[in-house]
Amino acid sequence: MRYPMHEERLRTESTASEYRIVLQLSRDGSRLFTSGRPWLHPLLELTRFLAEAGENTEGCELYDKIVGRAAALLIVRLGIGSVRTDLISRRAIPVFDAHQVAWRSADVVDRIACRTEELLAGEDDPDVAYRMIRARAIAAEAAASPERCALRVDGVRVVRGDQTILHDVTLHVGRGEKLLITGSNGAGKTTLLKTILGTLPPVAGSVQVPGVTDRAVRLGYVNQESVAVTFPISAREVVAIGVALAGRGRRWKRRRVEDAMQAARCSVLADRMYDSLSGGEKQRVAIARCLAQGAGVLLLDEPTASLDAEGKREFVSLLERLAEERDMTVVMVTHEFDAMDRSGWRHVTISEGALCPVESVR
Amino acid sequence: MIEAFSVLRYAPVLRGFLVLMLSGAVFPLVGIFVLRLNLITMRFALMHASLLGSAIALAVGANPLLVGMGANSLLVIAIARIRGNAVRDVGFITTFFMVLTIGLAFAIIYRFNVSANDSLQILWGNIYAMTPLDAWLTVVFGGIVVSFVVLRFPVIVAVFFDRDVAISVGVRESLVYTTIVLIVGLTISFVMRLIGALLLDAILILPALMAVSCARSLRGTFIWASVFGTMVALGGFVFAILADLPVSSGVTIFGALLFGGVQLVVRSRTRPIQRVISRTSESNEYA
Repeated sequence: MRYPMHEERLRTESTASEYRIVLQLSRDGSRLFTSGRPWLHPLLELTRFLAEAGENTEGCELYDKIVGRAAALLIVRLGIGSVRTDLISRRAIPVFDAHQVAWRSADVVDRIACRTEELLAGEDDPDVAYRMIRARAIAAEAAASPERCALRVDGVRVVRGDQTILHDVTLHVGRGEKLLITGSNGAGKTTLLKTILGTLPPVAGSVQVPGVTDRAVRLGYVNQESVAVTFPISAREVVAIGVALAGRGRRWKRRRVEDAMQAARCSVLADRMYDSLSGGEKQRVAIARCLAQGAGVLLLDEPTASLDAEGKREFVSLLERLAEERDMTVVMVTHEFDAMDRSGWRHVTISEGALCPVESVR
Repeated sequence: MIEAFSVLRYAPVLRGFLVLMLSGAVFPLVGIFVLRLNLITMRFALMHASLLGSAIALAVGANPLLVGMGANSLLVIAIARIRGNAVRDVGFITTFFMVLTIGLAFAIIYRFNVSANDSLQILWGNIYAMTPLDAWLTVVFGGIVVSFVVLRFPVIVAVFFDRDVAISVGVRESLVYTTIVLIVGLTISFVMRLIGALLLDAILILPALMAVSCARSLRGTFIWASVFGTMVALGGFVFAILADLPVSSGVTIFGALLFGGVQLVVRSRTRPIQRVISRTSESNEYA
């Protein structure tokens, strides 16, 4: 088996003398993966590497320079059974012990001075920890390097008639980030989405999707299920809207539509009339449409407004899976977030057209 | 009975018949645009603008079809500009033009002493009065409509589905919408020449309505509309010949009867199925 990322790492290591390994995964003495990045990035990179290579960690040993509780939870989530480190926090030890992870450390400290470590002090679920760490990593990366954002809104002002709907809104959203925008009715949530989409031009400021010249190829839009479509149109035709301008052959388009419906778990609905679908089914079809489009950013306007509690849970779970597996950026406008598990979501609110953060990523 | 159809030996009658068949097969596709994009009010405005154009043409001795098409094109451009600027609700502006154009049309008919017979032809149409130029224009325009539907089908689906969604996938929605309204306007001019202003819905709307009742996809809707349109045109022509009626009346009466029959069949067939679908959806959602 070839490990492209691994080979790249080794090349980097051999050509740059300052490259310092802080994390290394090996099996039977041979290195599978190494990284020299700071914070928890190496473990996140390793997670992605293993998923892309389709590799498991059976019989592997991990070297990680410093292991705190956050790292321990990520290591457990990867199913690694043996860990070697230079420094371990006492908060990490119960996590390893609970999951029968063998560890060796040169030194033990009470705690590691890190905000993530504090946030995860009471967290035992490796999946919840992973979502939170991943979201913090994306947000930090977007803030540090705006050119690597999935979406950039800078100083946008939108005016309708003599009323200013949005006041100098600035928002940077990272690749793979999940952003929740809340606010009361008329606060400007939908206006912001439509401005990003391009249907409402701003009088000042700019909206950019870095890396692409045509915004449309990256932005997938899902509106409320209540959009009245009482005309005969099949679910397959709705998904095919995503490839309307693809400029490829019919066979390619058909395949793309099928793949998208499969990914959104709505293949069985393909030949059903759209208006005979339930609210949850319609939203899955809408997501499939965005996947067929190849959208990297999903803009969702009150997508769960007409769903019951179970439907909402399933829909949010689908979004989280897509964000994780496909590195999709999700921007969701909603006023129904109280019952939602917001771990891994950044949350901002709009009030009278101005944007303010509610909390950093949990 | 066969003798009744010997009129087809005459060139104007045969020409009118062929154009009617072509219109029956093609123009119901445009009826789907009218229904889906809710252009009912705009259809009246375009009809009145076409009437105004025809009245002007009759007053100055020009071709009513061409001047009607010109008047409709001007109206479409005006509406597109207003829609783009979002100065006012389009419905408001359309209603304004709808009333203004019909007023001007009758004022011109009165002022220029257009003969009652000619005026009635605008309202009733006459397939036998089509000139070879009219017929060729209909053929060319029919080809444009079919090409537009076939080649731009994915884009049409997007615009039909939702404006914002269409924009999100990169469709230039305003351009497509304006093109559709222009096609509707020109179609109205052609159909008015064929069967007249008062009976235009028999070719434009009724087949589309029947198709909407039967089809289970948008592609199917267009195909059914064309099939029903051809049936209305052919059946109406035969009915008119047999009953010794004007073709426009025959087409309209036959179309209305076919519409009623299709509705009865569709309702009796789909009711139990719809109940099952609705029960299944509920059980899925709340399972």
